[in-house]
Amino acid sequence: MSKEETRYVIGIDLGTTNCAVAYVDTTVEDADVQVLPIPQLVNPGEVQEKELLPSFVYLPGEHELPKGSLKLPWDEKRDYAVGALARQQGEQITSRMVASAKSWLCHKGVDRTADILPWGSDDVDQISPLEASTRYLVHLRDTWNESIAEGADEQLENQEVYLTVPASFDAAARDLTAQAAAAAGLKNVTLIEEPQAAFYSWLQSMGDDWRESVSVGDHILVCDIGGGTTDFTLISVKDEDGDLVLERLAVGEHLLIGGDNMDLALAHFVAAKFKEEGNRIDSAQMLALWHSCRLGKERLLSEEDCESIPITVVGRGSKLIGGTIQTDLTRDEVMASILDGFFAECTVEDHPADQTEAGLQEIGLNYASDPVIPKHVAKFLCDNVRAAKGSSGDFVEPTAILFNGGVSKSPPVQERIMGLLNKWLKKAKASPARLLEGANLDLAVARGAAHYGLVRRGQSIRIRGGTARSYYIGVKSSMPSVPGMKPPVKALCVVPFGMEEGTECDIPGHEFGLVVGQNAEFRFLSSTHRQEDEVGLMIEDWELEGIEESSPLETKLTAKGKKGERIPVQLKARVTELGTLELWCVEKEGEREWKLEFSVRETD
Amino acid sequence: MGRFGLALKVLFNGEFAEQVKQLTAPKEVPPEEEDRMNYDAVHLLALLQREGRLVDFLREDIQQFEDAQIGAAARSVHEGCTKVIDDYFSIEPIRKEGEGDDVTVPEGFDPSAIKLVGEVTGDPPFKGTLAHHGWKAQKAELPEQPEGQDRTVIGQAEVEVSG
Repeated sequence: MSKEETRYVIGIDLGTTNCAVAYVDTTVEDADVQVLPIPQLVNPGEVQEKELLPSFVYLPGEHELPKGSLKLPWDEKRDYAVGALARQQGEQITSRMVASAKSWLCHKGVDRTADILPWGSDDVDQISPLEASTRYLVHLRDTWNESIAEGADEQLENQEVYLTVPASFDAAARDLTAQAAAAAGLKNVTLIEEPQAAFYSWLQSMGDDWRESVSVGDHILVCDIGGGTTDFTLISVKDEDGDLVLERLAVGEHLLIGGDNMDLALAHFVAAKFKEEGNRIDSAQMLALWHSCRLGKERLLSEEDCESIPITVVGRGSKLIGGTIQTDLTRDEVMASILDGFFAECTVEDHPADQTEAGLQEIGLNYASDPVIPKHVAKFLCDNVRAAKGSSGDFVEPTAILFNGGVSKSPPVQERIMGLLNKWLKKAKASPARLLEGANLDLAVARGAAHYGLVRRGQSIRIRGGTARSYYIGVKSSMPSVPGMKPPVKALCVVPFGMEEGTECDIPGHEFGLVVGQNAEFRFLSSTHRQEDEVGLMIEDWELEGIEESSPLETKLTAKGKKGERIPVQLKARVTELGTLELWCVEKEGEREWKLEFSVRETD
Repeated sequence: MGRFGLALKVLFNGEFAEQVKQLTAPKEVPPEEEDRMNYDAVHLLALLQREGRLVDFLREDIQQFEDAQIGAAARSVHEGCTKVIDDYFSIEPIRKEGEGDDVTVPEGFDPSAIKLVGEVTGDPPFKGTLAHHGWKAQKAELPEQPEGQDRTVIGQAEVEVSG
């Protein structure tokens, strides 16, 4: 697929809590990656430019805001808000705020194209997770077209756009992200995984020196702790005909835990402290407390000589001084709350408690049930031991670590994770891992995504990746039926781990029958850590082998033919240039093909 | 008297016109009365109140509180009002020298920007020490307000609606 090269190469970080845009003007020689300032409502009627667009949509009722509060310079009639005002207003009226739309995009328990957000707010005109993501992209598109584009050719719709997704997103969530981009009119989009983008940002900041910082045989753990999610990726450095080659070996599971959880934990801790002193905090004050705890945490974790800072919560009514309460937040308290709460010491055998399914579990986002991040690191390293050749023990032995994301910038957090990892390595008699320095750029994911665009034009080294999971189709075993027992379902590998963009493969041997006029539904399964499975492999007890259920695939056969006629087909898998996965049913005797669509409606 | 009223007076007799005018004329602000409210000044107060609760702070009886309590509140007022200055103003010292430094005030200086105190005799240049570096605005821009905004509001009343 050849496309004309566009003037700009643009990286969009479509984050769980914040979006950002970075770009390169390729008509300028050695152009830097620049960050696009994003105008947005920050107060009713007031537009300011910010580097980040908070990923929130606010759906106002008729009574909360004065007339004209939501209009933008390029849209007088806007009847919703995204960005800073959406978050600020939504924190006060939570039932009208859509947050974490991205995490809903990969939620298998709900229909992600149905109007379900804000979750549980029935008296609001709800929107779908897909629509929310589209609205962020529309805002970014309009910003670009207002402030940068000169003429239709340079509009965002027609530029090369690199859109980031969590490495842990499965095929259906990636597909939905691509749909959101298409709905926003973007025609030239490629998906890139966030930890890889962070790594590209590091490569770019190092220039040619990166070759001095890594060497053949390195296993680099990218540890990306964002505001709402945590993502791991393992990248290895190999030698191919004397050249250094980077390969993405494994990705972690989707973890809904991040810096926001830590700030909230701290706010609850301080609220308890106030309560002990006889002061009650109401919900509005809790919000203010959350913000001041975030600022306090950042200072205490970054400034070594700062031992304690005062936390003030002002009175809510007009009596400001009389209602003001104050306490001190000390460095030790932050250490205890953040480090011992979220980065507690553990062994490499210590894995997160299983997500125990309560009999009647409330549907909602699947927040990580175990907040201890090192346990998730340990599980990631153990799960993927087979992917990393050279790791002799029971877990991948990283030789270097790259941090990304707000919380992991603070030295005590880095020291804690490095310290733990090196303890595990020492016990396994492996050499200690080193820290890849120079990675502390803000907005690294957006910058790295833009840099990746240049890489694709052949200007620098590319990380080989391909699909981040292996995928399987559920196949019913043919066995004599036994009353009261469902025939067991086996998993047929249809896409191997690491299948590259722009390639396709036939799935030989297995023939399926599609019935004309009927829906055909396939169970679709995936795994993040079965790198060795080959196409056509059949796995029996897949639940025990670390393979999990994804969104099902379906197609309706509208072919000509007698209704009820059975057409034999074979499957074919394709990974598009864009980075999405497609499965096709190919007629065995004939030339017809039917695409299987992800069914993103509720599953059990 | 409004134009509508005047027209009626011309068309009909005075008494009838007066009755109609009372029915139709806007009651609150008679148009001939000039609006002397400086809405930008109110807007600035509103910003300082919104971000720093400055009006609450100044309106509270300060006598009854200990210094520590006032100090705790002042910290948040300081933080919020600083944000207003950072966001909407750009201000800088008039004199770049450090306070306490020897300075020379040249001929043709602007007395609205530099205040002379002490033994001021004769003509410039004057020599002395800088007691205060002064401040001046490089930029002062109030943000847009929505068209539905009542421009006399300094801080909204707040009602917590119960379920």
